Amino acid sequence: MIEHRLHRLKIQITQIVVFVSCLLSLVSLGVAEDRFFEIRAKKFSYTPNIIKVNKGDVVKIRLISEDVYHGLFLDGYGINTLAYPGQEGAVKFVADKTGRFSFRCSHTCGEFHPYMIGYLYVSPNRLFPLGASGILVFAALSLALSFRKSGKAAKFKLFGLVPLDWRFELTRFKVVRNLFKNRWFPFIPIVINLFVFTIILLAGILGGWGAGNYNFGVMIVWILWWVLLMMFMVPVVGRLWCMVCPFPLIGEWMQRGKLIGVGRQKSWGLNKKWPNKWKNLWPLVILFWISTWFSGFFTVRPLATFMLLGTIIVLAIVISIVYEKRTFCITMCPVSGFMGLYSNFSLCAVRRKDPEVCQKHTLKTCFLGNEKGYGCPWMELPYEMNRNTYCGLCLECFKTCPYDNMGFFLRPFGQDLFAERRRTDDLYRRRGLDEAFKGLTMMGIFLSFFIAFQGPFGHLKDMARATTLGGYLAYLAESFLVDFIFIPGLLLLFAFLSKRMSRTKEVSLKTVFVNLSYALVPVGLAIWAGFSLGIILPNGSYLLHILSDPFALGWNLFGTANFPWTPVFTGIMPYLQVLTVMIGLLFALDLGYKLSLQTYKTVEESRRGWIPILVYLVIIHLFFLKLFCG
Amino acid sequence: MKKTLVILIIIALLLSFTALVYYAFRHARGIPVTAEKIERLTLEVPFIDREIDLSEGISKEPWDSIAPKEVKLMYQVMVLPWPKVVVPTVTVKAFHNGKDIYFYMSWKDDTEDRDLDVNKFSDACAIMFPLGKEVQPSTIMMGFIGRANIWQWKASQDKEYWLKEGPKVKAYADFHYPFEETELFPVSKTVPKSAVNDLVAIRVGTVTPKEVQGQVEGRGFWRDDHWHVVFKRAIEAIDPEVDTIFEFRKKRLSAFAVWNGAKGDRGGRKSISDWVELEVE
Repeated sequence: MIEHRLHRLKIQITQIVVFVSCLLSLVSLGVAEDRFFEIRAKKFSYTPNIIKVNKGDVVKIRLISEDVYHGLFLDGYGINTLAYPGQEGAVKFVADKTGRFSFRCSHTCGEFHPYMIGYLYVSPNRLFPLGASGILVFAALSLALSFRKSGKAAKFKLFGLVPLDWRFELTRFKVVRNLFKNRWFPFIPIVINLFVFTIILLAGILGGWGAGNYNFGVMIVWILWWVLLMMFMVPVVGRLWCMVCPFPLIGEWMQRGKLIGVGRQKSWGLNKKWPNKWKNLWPLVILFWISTWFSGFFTVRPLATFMLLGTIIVLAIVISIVYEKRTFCITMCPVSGFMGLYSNFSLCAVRRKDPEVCQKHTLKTCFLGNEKGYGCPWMELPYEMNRNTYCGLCLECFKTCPYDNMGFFLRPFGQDLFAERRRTDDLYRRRGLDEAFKGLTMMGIFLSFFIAFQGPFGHLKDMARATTLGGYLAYLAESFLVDFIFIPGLLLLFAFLSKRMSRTKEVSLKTVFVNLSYALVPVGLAIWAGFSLGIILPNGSYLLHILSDPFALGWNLFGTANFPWTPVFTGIMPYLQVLTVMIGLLFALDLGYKLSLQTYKTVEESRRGWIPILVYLVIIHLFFLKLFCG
Repeated sequence: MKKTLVILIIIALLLSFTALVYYAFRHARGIPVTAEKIERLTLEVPFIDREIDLSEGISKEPWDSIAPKEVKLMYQVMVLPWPKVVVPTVTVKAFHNGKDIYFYMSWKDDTEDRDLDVNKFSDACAIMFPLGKEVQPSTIMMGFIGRANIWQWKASQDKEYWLKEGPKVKAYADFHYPFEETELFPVSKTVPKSAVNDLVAIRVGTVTPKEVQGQVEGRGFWRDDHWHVVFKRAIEAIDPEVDTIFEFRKKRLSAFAVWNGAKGDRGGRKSISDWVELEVE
């Protein structure tokens, strides 16, 4: 009897176990379904633009084109189909990879073709919760460490590992030193660059209104140059681009009367001084923001790229013959502002070696110039320079210093963000609202660019490319509100909370706002690097075509003119973008707390004041994570 | 003096730049390149002085001298269910001898499916030629928008026609429109006049066998996991309204389709190609 009951119990337990495990597997895995989507493609969006499936679903997509030839390439799955009116495309696949995948047009359909994107979500999307957990864990660790560290000593080491004042002189190597002291350097790289930009300008004229992805000018400037700038030049070498930029060459030649040798120290022309109140980044904040109004044109239209570059060249010459030295670079060049600000984070810098040597050298030839070279064209004071914002790496100070007291140094990331104020800082109004707003507007511009150009929303693309005047004006209004009201407003709110929580009365809200805005420098670089990945990985292969056929004349110089569009690593792109965001966050957390220590008078105030800024950093990083993979 | 010179230089610069932009505008408007051209695969149809008697086989020799073209295939979009698998590519070749035109199709198929039964379907392939000069018809469903002439070779019909072996079973399924046989009692089934069905369509749901069959011949062999099928028709069209017209040194469109019977392909369920341009030399 007992045996019988036990046997029955056994069967019942087995049945329950089987039932529960079946139920669990259904709940955890979901039921794989046949999913059918009819996607309509029209310049330059898909309808629907977002499709959602579960892992294991058999996905069937029918692609219908409503205007011209369109394609649908699915990142991560490498699936491609084409369609044109009357000819539909079809793909069928098992959604066995989870996450967010972009599907993008694979056949050049017009100027906005590279921006024609939709999203496929395959649930469960593990990357977003994983990234969000990482952000929260890092923030918690940062908070714990900030409360553990004793005194202000913590601020002297990056991640507690590398002393922030550590530096290694690269010019101690004779080859580097001789190169930097030679008048042919950086003239030769500038001439090479001039040759490339001449081709870019010619391609801009000849390319006209053609599709940008098959134009040398558009591809080199907005795909190669921009990506190199944001992912290598600025974070590693600082204003490396300014060192080799060909735009000021003509103006500088007119000013000096010589191209390579040393000519006039006093600029030819009217040699006017730029007004003191505008010797800051404000003109650059405004000019760069205005130039982004036309991003929907010059990143896709060769002629628009030509007009932009041409305007910059003309402006550079005009400013050079009216104002002294590199006034154009310091106050007018649209890209100079963010390069200057972000260069403060860079791994390299030009600095004096021994302060005593400079102190004894009363003539200050690095500023005034001598027979070996020109006084600093950027009007910096190399003998006491402690930030990269206005150092254009022209290397004249290496040539003019009679004591070889200038060095090119390798140092920890972000060293300049803690630079002490100097008396000349008032001249340039350094570490002020201008630099804070430069960093904040760069974040806002990233947001507008990412959502309009790498997002799936067709109506935003139409607004950015001005298909209607109303839509375009709304796009500009959104840009203004986000860049100058919403993003600065959000930081102001948390700066206010920071000041309140610190309970200090000695530090002004403006100082808190400005100082803590520098924590956003690595964040800005990281999100722009993530954005750049979204440009180069899907579209980099077009470069092979334009190198062989720069003027679209049917040439095949290097045998790569017919290389097909080949997206590279787009399947892992969200992971790479999340990685860049995380790196930016780590630097922001470490440098941010040190900035808090620098801002407030006591360690207790700094710790309390750090908490709202930490929350702010977590919020914005969750948002960036959402953009890249959520 | 210097001020005047500076102003003159600025004016000269601005004028030059404006002139350059003006030139670029004028020039650009002349060549608006907004989209890539549609680049289609071209299948050359060379002249080869050979004749193939299909009753003796598909003759290997002339085909070996012709460069093959790999045509990509994709799923036929249709109301569910879709085909279970896609046949990824089909190799095509063609030649003419001034009198007849020949097409060769070859694709990988692990099984030779010639017999019809309940839930058992025949392998097949087809070539479609759009008719007329109006808007290009779509390949979709083999004749979706405009008029088209379709040649469909079926392995089961090939067996019936060439090997004189009818279906072994009395009933077989399924009779899905289009491309399936008319639903008839097996006793009243007519003997096919060719292994190829010569069809016309004017839009979706209109695929119809032509009154006169037998103009297009075809024969297929299955060997080493591959089908090798040859189509043959006289170059001269008998009825230009419904027959494909092949003109020398003129391009015309064609499309290809393949059915894998073992995977349940029948009727509309098949793998289809985009347009391929034929160039009769």
